[in-house]
Amino acid sequence: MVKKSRFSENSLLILISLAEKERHGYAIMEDIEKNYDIKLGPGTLYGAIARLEKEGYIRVLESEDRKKPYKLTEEGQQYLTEQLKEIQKVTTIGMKRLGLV
Amino acid sequence: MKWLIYLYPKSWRSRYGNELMEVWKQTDKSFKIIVDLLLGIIDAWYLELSERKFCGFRMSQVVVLISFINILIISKLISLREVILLEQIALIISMVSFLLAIVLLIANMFKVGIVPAFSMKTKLAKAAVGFMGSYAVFFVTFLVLAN
Repeated sequence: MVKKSRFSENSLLILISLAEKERHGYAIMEDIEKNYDIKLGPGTLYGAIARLEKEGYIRVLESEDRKKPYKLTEEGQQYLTEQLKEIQKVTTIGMKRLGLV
Repeated sequence: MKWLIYLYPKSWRSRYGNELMEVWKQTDKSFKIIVDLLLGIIDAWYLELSERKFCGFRMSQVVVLISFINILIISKLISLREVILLEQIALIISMVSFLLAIVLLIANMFKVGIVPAFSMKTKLAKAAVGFMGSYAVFFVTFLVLAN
């Protein structure tokens, strides 16, 4: 059975962005805009970051700069892997039924 | 529009405020972004109220309970008589005053703590009491008109 994600699509995009490397808020926004053409607002971005950090999926790295970089944690990596597998499962079924594979 | 940041809960602001300001500086100041920030503020307060407890209950539950009590009172009173315009105006003003009083009281609780929030030392507390007074006056007016 496909589990319903507790997080929004935006949260997944943030996790995917951090899976590549550590990034601060604005860099995450830029990465998402560049790859998916989705422009996240600062309110949405930090709402999602706060939730992900609370769950322990990402953590902030110490920095003297006002722009603090975030890093994907092991739990975050595990959660993202599970979510992507679920999405892949749904995509495969959909593609088969549409006769695309 | 920097003042928008002060609408976030204090704990949230101290953790993410500076970062949010940095991102805000680099983004355009369109209407869409302002709406996004306002939605972010609601979301942050929802998170905050879901975590905070008051007498063993979550703050969000307390607010919902108070709102239900008000709705119950209104529904009982409205069904008593034919609603006329003046009653409605008095009722709307009293309910808006009540809502503002509660919002200011909760905001003050987060700002100065639960016990000091009930003193009259801060501007927010004074404003909350003022709105509560307005609520009482207009609610009594509504009751008089309804009867």
